[in-house]
Amino acid sequence: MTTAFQLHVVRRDGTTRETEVENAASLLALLRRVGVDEIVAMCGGNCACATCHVYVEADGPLSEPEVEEREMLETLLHQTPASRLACQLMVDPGITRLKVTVAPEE
Amino acid sequence: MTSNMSRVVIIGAGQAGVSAATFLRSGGFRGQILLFGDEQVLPYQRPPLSKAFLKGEIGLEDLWLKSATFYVEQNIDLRLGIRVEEIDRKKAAIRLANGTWQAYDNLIIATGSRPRALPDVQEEMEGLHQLRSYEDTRRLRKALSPDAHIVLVGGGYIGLEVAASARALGARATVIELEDRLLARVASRPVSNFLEGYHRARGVEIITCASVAALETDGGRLTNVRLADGRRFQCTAAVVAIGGVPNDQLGRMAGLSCDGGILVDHNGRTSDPAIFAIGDVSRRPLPFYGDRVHRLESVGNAVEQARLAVAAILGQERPEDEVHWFWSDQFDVKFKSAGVAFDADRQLLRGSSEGRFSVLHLKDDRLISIETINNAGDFVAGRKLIASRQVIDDTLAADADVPLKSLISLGNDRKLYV
Repeated sequence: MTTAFQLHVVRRDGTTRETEVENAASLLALLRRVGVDEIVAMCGGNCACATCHVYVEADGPLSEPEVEEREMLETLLHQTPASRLACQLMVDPGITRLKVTVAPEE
Repeated sequence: MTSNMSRVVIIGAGQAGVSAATFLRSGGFRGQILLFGDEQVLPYQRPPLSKAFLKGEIGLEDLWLKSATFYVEQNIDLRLGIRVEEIDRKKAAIRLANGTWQAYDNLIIATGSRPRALPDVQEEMEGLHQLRSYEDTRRLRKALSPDAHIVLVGGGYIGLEVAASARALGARATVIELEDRLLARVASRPVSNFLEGYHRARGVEIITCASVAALETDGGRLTNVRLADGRRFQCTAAVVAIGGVPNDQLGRMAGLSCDGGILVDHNGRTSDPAIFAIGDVSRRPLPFYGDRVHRLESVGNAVEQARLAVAAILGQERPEDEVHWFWSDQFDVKFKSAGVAFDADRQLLRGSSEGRFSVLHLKDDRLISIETINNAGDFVAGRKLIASRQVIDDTLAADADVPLKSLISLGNDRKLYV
């Protein structure tokens, strides 16, 4: 099921942007689609490099990270409770608003 | 080299070339950037070509390295569908397929690698595949219907990834490997054994110690793969995945020093100081391995060399050396490795071989490489331990109840805290 929601992005250079987006396979795919190009995601979305680290706030519950994602997150210097890997996060259909802040480079 | 008038020309718009263009701009370069790619489509990531993209789970736009607007916003002159035919070092210019010349102040060769061909086999044969471009993958996907039987010639990472994808699509899959085990040149025996068992349990047929003698056809269409020992495997398609060869022709023609890839120094600089070669096409010294010269085929290496070459071109401080890393996904197994096990004197197993473990390779009591199965924590900690070059205790390192990151001693470098 595809659902649209409001995606609010704070980019690494501090600029912000809000767009309505159709949901996709992962948050990373969404961010690429709206042109957030500072995310390297060098492993191509396979939870292997943690270069797609973002901070996420949503207006509803998000799926919990699985063990691989948790382990990668734990190794990051800039980890906070809002940390997620964009490649691993599938935005749940109940979400209508999502704020994503691109984390600093490690 | 940072004047507004200078021009950097990049040949190859894969991970290495696009990364170099990106780092030039983020590093403050205000001159001209010309990025040439020989494919018609926006630059894309290749690793999913044997995995999610092959299975049809994601589309080509999900593979884009950067959005279309990025190249415009960053003032990167992206020229797609153009082959570069020649480098003239005296003129400091390259010749394009249409005969025009483009001058450069610095040239970056990022032409990548291509699949090694099976010797003595005619290349054009219906049903015979290799995997390098998204078009290769699209062709192969059409051949992977549930009634298909695909033979993978080569039990390396790509062969195994394609086998797993084929099974997910319902096709039969047979892997033919020359050596006595899968991944013989690139992974340790515990990893090979685990993956072999995992693939067999999911219906992949694996034949080791087997060399292909002939591909048999009927009316120009592949029908059987015949082995040297006479065994024949009927199939609807075959993929040859027996390693890669560097696309170093331009470098060789131009007289750059080459030896199984374009030879470069620690910054990716070739024997011509104005020319750099990065990514799969280059052969480079590895600082964590006594500067042994090696050719690496990986995304991580492409990005690292792009960063090093750009810093050298811009005259900026050299970035820190990185420990090489690699990953592969097969079925739901996540394999990750760091470093290379050159001349390791012993091997330690952390955890049981059942679904989650790591293999540590040591030399002179230091960790030089780690391979992990479904263990991202060990992978990241291991990579940092390799970089720290510190002596580690075997008993602690082999104890899966002791977090690997706890072995990293508190040095001055804050990055070593995990």
